[in-house]
Amino acid sequence: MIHAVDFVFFLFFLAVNLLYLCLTVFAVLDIRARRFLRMVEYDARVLSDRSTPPITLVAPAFNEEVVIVESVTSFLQLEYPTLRVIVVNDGSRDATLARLLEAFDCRPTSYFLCSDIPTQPLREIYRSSRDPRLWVIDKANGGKADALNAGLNACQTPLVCCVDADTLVDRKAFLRMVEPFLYDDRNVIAVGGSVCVANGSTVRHGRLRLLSLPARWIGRFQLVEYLRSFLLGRVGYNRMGGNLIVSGAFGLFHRDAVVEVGGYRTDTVGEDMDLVVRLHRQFKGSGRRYSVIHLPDPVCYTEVPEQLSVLADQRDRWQRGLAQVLLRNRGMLGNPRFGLVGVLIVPVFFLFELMGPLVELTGYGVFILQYVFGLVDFVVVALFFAVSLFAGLLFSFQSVLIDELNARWSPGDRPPIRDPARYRFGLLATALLENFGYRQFTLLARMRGLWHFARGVRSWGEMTRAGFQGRSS
Amino acid sequence: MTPTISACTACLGPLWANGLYRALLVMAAAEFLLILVQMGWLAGRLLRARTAEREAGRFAEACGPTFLAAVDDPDRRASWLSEASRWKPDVVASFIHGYLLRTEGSYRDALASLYREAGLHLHDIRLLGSRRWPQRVLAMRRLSEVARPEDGIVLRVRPRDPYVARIAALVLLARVGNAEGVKGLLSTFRVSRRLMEQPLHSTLLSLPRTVLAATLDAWDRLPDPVVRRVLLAVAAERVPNACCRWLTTAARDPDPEIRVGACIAAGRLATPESFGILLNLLGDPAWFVRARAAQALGAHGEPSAVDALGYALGDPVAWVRQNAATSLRLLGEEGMGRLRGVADVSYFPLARRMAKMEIGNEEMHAEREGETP
Repeated sequence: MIHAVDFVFFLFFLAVNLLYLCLTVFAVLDIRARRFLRMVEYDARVLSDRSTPPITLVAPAFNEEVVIVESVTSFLQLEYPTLRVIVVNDGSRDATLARLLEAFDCRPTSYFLCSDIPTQPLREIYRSSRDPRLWVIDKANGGKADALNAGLNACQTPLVCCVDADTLVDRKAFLRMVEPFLYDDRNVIAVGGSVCVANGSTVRHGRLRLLSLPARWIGRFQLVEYLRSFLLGRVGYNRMGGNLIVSGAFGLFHRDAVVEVGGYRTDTVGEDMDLVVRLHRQFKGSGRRYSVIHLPDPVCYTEVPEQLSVLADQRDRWQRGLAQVLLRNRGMLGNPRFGLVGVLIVPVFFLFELMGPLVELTGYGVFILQYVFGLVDFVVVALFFAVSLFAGLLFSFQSVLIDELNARWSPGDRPPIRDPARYRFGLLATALLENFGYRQFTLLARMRGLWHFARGVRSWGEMTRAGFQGRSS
Repeated sequence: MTPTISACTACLGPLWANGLYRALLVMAAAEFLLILVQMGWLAGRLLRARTAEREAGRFAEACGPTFLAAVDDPDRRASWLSEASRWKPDVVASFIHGYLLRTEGSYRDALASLYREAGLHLHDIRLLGSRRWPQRVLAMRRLSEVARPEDGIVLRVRPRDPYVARIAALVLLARVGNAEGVKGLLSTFRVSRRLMEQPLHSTLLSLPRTVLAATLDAWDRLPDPVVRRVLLAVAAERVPNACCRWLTTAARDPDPEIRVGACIAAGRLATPESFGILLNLLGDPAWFVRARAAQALGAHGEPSAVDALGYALGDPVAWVRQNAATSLRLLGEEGMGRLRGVADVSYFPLARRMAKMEIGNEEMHAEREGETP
């Protein structure tokens, strides 16, 4: 019996590592292919041509007074010829709206809104007299998804970009993200990009100027996690049938596709993943050709939480969101009607992302109990610990290496790194140290998320920010 | 050394004897080895990157100060090239390419000449024969900045090449001005989605007028209706005279996509013939053709279209009504008068609503113009 339990855990461990190995290989292949499809030579052509597809950037803002002006400034600096920025103030209780109106000299105006998706009532629509591309929608609080839906209703362009208001977007992000829509004949309906950690970096005038390691270890741990998740995970999934997540921090969508599935769901805390899963469901279900792509290019920078309690709340929410989405779409699990997404990707998310913390923590517990009761000897425990530690390290190191490769293959597309050698080896050291405490902490936070999900908790939690300006050197 | 090995053997011996221990040991050792290899690779890569950065810096120090003068002045170019020839071609190419991507107009042409004179384009020309399309796309993209007609570029577009490879080839052909090549390439195009029209449209717009006119000769032989529509629309803007002869054919084409192209082209050609074609297409059975015709009549700017557009306000499809209303507004006071008339007395409620909305839009525009500092 005991050996059978051990065998199950060992099998799980092998499966996880096999998955990561496949993802690594696919990620390297995809990043290499992307090198040929990053059409920097045609940027001037795209920028100067009036037929370039217009994009609406929708940024929902709730209590973002610290970062809102800087973020909107960075949105307006994006290099794209036909851009409209819609900031949706979702009934903020702080001075978010006042700061916006003052900084951009916004005045009330009339505007034609479709009512494709029902939302909470709108209070007022403003337009900036300083930059006519900027619109501000003030509405009653209805949550992030509701604010995004209000933005989708106001969007009159074929492409819509949903972005968090606390995100700094790379100036050339749209030039890169629009490429799959223009050149890829696989009917791209959504494109995501890599989100990077801005903590510790130098931000000036709404632009990230110099990339540095976060000053605090908790920020560094998350930096390694983000690299692993975006460069190894999501890029790798491109070649395994498609991504289930386009980050809520920055994603470019075909508006018609999003409206077709009814926009964002307001009764979930994982609205970004929920939308993409429903897109898969709708398009695969109706037998249409489509693709959801994740680009390895760093397209935006975000501030990650530096307080353990906030981080725990964030991971708790993500896990609840994941559980909600997978439960709602359980019909896709292992269903060949949805192709590789149903047969491979959804089961992988269910097994390793949703149940991963449960299995891993149970594994720790079982091992400790077996050792205490003398059912397993110390050498096995020590060796297995070494094997799992090295395996984790190996994939974390690989994500750092892939980031280095990506940086070399996309020169000029990203801000310079302050002391590259120190940065890279600092990341390696972080990848080593995250296994002692941080990893277990996030596992516990995710377990708490599962527990809260089972109890029906639906809250978002609070996110406190220092603001990019406060971090600028 | 030997005592260390024997100590290790003594320590590992009992572990090695057990199958489970042995398996775990091998796994841990393999992973550890891979980690070391990765760290070594990263260190080597960073070292190489630093060396390359330093070399680029040294090149910029040595050749940078005279670079701008060499671009401007052909006499100084030879000495600059001889100085640059002492450096690695990659360093020189990336130095010039950095400027090329950020420059426009005659200065860009001068930079391209310098790039060519340094012989940096020859490698890319050789790559055009590659069997792998990514390599060809990379070469075509670089050559699209520097290639010239005398290079005698021969492009191989294979049936299984993706859309991006065809676009890259078209951009290159547009630069070297090869009409026959463009015709041949366009006949292989398949545009499956609206957004994919943009690169085609912008590349066709960049074709020299003579090449565009020559390409238009083969317009009726192009298989893809979207390509024909885009070509006709671009030609109406760039070579209106050459475009006129296809207008009637396009307006009568059984494919509605082509008739949409006829609407766009006719809207851009301010001729009596094109006006008549637009009036006819306003009664087309396909609603999107009618909508385009209504829109084009506004762009055409002929006041006598007021009656036809007023009639189109009663169209059962909202897009046609909306475009007709917008076009009436664009036609000035006469059009606005018709809109007010429809808003007041029309028996068709949808037409009334659309006219009222457009009148509201006009008031909003006027208000906004008044507000603009």
